Amino acid sequence: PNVKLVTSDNEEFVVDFRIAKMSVTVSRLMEAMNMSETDDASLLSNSIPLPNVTKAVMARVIEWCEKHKNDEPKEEKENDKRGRTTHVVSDWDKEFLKNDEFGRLCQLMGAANYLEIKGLFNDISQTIANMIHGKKSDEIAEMFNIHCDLTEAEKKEIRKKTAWCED
Amino acid sequence: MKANVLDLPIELVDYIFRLLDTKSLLTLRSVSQITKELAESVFMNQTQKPLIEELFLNKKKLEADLTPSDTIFLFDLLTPLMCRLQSGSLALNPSTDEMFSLTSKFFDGKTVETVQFKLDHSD
Repeated sequence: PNVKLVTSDNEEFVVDFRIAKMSVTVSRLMEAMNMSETDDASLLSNSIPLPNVTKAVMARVIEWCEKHKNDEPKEEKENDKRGRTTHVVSDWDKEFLKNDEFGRLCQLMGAANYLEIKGLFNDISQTIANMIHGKKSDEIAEMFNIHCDLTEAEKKEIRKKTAWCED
Repeated sequence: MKANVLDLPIELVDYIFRLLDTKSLLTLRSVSQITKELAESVFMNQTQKPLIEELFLNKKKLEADLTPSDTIFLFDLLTPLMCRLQSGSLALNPSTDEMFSLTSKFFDGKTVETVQFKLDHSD
């Protein structure tokens, strides 16, 4: 069975029921609209509005979901003393995300968050975290377009305390 | 227009920061006010300890939760700052030759009540 998803720019995507269910948000909406896998009429007569997702972003989300529709749920584990959890981004996912410029990654992350697709959300978050890792402060500011609003005195104090992590 | 990471909802930026290692959080302190506050808040929430104070102020115990290469890098660069450190005990893990060599530099002329060596029998 197929489900119709309608984006903010009025584009309709017809996706497999299994793909639609990968989004917790879509799942909840289908439930609220009494749409079920065994009731074709309910699926044909309804479409799910997704006002926070554009056509371009939805196409990327569906591409990711198609690839991961048969995945087993991943177990989350804390992996250091700080309780920090890192996610392993698979080679396919690295390849999938590598050509997205940062603005596009942010849009995709926003959509994954809104649609509640945890795997995609984790992949993008970890990809952005990996982009930060090993960078100097000015490189991070440049990469993420962050204006430095620290005063000279604050910068001096921070430099004094963290000189060891700068080259 | 180029995207700004801080245009993301704050909870998403917070989530990204929670995936970062201590060194990256330290670096983010010098990017802007908001990244500084977020980085410190993330570290504080995870460890219940202030980021900088945990490493540099007078604590009973200093724990540097870093990879071996990061730890060696850290000790090497911290040596000139060690005169400011007063620590009750210092645990070194791993106890490699490099670590002994590096720690000898900053132990010189200082008093540390307890030193713990965790031996790695794999070599």
